[in-house]
Amino acid sequence: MRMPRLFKRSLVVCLLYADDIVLFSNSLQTLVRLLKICEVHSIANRYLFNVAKCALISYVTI
Amino acid sequence: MWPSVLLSVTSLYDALLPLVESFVYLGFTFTSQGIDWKDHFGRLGGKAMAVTAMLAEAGLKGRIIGPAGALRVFKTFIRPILEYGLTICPQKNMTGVVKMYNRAIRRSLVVGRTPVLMSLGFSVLVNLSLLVKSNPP
Repeated sequence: MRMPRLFKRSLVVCLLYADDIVLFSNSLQTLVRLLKICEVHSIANRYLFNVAKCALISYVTI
Repeated sequence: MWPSVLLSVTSLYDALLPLVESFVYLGFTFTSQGIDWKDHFGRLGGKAMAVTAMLAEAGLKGRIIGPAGALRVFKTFIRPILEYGLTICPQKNMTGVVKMYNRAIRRSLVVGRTPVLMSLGFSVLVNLSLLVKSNPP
């Protein structure tokens, strides 16, 4: 499977363990795209993420 | 720069996602600095104490079932809770673990009139020192 060029710079894009998911990204554009992929996948497969349990954390000094 | 615009563009099902200082993944508390071991062990200690209280209510106390039974109960129900994630914990963060372990041992196992000696004895039996030494510094 070919990896999209956008994700090639990230060593790990996501961690999945059962229903616990973490997405990683080096840039805002990648993060937005990853979230969109998750959203589209959930709709296509008839499940929903619990938005109340989703959050963002920044590893950049604010 | 991008954290400031983060809130306005990152959404899921058109709902904006909140920016948080820490989150729990697989039972570990993560902050922007990595795993928060103090919080992690605080939570594990709370869980262990809750199980200890539940077992005590059910009559599984050292005073009632004796030292051997209490040790078995400790190893089966309480120790796995206390040791979750311990293999990846650096040694410098483990001082809190030893205190937590001793507290759990005292509460769940103490049988006679010498709680300190008894808990020390149980610490030896559960190989706590070995566990601490085997971790990376």
